[in-house]
Amino acid sequence: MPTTPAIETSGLRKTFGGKVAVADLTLQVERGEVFGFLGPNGAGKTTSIKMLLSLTRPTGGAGRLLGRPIGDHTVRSRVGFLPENFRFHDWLTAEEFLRVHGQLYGMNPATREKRIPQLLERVGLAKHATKQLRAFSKGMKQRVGLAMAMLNQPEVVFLDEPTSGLDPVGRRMVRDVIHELRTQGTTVFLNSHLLSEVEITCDRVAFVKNGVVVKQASLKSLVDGATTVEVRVDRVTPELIERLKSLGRNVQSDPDGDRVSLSVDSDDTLPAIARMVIEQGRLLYALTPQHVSLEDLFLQIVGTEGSL
Amino acid sequence: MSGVWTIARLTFDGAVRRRVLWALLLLGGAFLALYALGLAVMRGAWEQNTYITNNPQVAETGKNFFLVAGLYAANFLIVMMTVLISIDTLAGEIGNETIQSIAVKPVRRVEIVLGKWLGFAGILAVYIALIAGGVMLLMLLFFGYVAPKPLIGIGILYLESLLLLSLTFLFGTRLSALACGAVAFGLHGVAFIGGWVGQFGTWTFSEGAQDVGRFSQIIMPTEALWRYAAAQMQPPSLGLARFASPFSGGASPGSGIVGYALAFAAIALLLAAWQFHRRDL
Repeated sequence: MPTTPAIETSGLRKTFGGKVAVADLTLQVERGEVFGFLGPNGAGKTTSIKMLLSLTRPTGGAGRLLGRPIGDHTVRSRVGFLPENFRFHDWLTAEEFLRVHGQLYGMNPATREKRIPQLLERVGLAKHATKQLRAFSKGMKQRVGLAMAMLNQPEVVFLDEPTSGLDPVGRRMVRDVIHELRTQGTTVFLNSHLLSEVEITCDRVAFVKNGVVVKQASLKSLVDGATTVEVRVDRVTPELIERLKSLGRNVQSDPDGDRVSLSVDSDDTLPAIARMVIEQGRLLYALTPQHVSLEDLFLQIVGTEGSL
Repeated sequence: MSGVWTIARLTFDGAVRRRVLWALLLLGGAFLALYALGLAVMRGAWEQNTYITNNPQVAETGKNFFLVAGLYAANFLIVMMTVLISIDTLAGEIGNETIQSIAVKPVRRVEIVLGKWLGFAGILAVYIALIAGGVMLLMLLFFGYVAPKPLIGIGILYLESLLLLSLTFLFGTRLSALACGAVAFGLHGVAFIGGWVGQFGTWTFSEGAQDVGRFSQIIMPTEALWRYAAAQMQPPSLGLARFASPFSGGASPGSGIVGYALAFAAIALLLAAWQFHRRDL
């Protein structure tokens, strides 16, 4: 696998007239990772993807896609893309549609013809291969779009709201496809509002707010780092509180109560907390880690205002 | 360059499946049927008129008038077809974002424009061959008449159509489909009116009116191309009669109009490709 990052941008910026759509897109996506790109509506997510795919010309900054400067059209044979508002020539059948896009990718005809039925099978549309796309439901259209995004066995796939319009079965299918892509070493750049799905599928995430990447980290470090542990003992003593402060932050307790809570960086700290409670001669009734959901984190980082 | 052919094929196939094409084909068919009926009726009267049958010059003038009048109507249909079939290929696909999944492929934007243009050029070639060829064939069947230089005439009508196609592409890179169509038809209207003013100027020896005609053909050479095509299909023996017909070449522009129109169409297409290359999708 090449060592250059799949995506690398520095200060990418886009303004439309006087309006700033993306102020500073600085991020790095490594090869083979599933990267979640999160932010409220109007934060500049789709414009960012469009800049990376050179659908939109950046006003400033620089970026590289698979080691090539963005705008280099040759790199696009190694890229897949499912647009947010996926529209197409709906007079084509599903099979014809994939054939045309395979031709545009410059795929070898034998490979293309072998891959089309496989992909239609994968997205659950094998029985509808010869049906015109205009007869497809929204979910079916999304599925055929996903097949198109994977047609050329890309090294990086951009999925802009891939589960939009899909029922739970379809969402599960998308999740499985993303897992498969990761297994194959494909980089996935996922823009989704469904944070529960991002939480399940992504390795790393970036939060974007008002056109600026405000935080970028691995999902594990974000979620683990935000674990709150609730400890229930027979009686909370000042000594116990002092000792717990060495293991975590935000130690809080009810002075006359039997509960104390603290934030820890990782679940690995839990046994140490249990040991300390016992060493202090206290009776341990419960030790409950409460992971903060990605949704909570999203609200903490991005805030509740500014969603358009 | 394989992307160009893929997009040209996609455009051709897409156009064939569109209702507007079939509506205009039906309209063309209806026009040809009506034209055939008219010719059939006129032939009956023609054969009984001794003044015509005894004067080959009058007969020649009459037959040529029938042909050019038929082609004049065909020209109108061709202009309609050119604009209506291509009006939303760029403007519409940019507006509804269909273009995005095409533009992210390893295909240059100029190839997308060229492919679409070639696809429509193919459709228009077939349409013009059917409509203009149909008029000529009917004249041959009913009157045994073949105009001078029929292929050159059809070729120039095709050039007129391609010029309009290139302009529609150019406007389509910036305007909505509706505005694009309005501007294309509007410009053709300017050329039409300007052409007529120029024609009157020739009849009345008015230099000012002729200047208006010349100026309009510089802005939009479609009407001038029609008059040049008509003049190519009229025998020189018609003499002054060439000026008498409302449909005819009359004061035909010189052959330079062909070169000018070719350059005009090429520049419009290049500008369309350049605008499309630069714009955000």
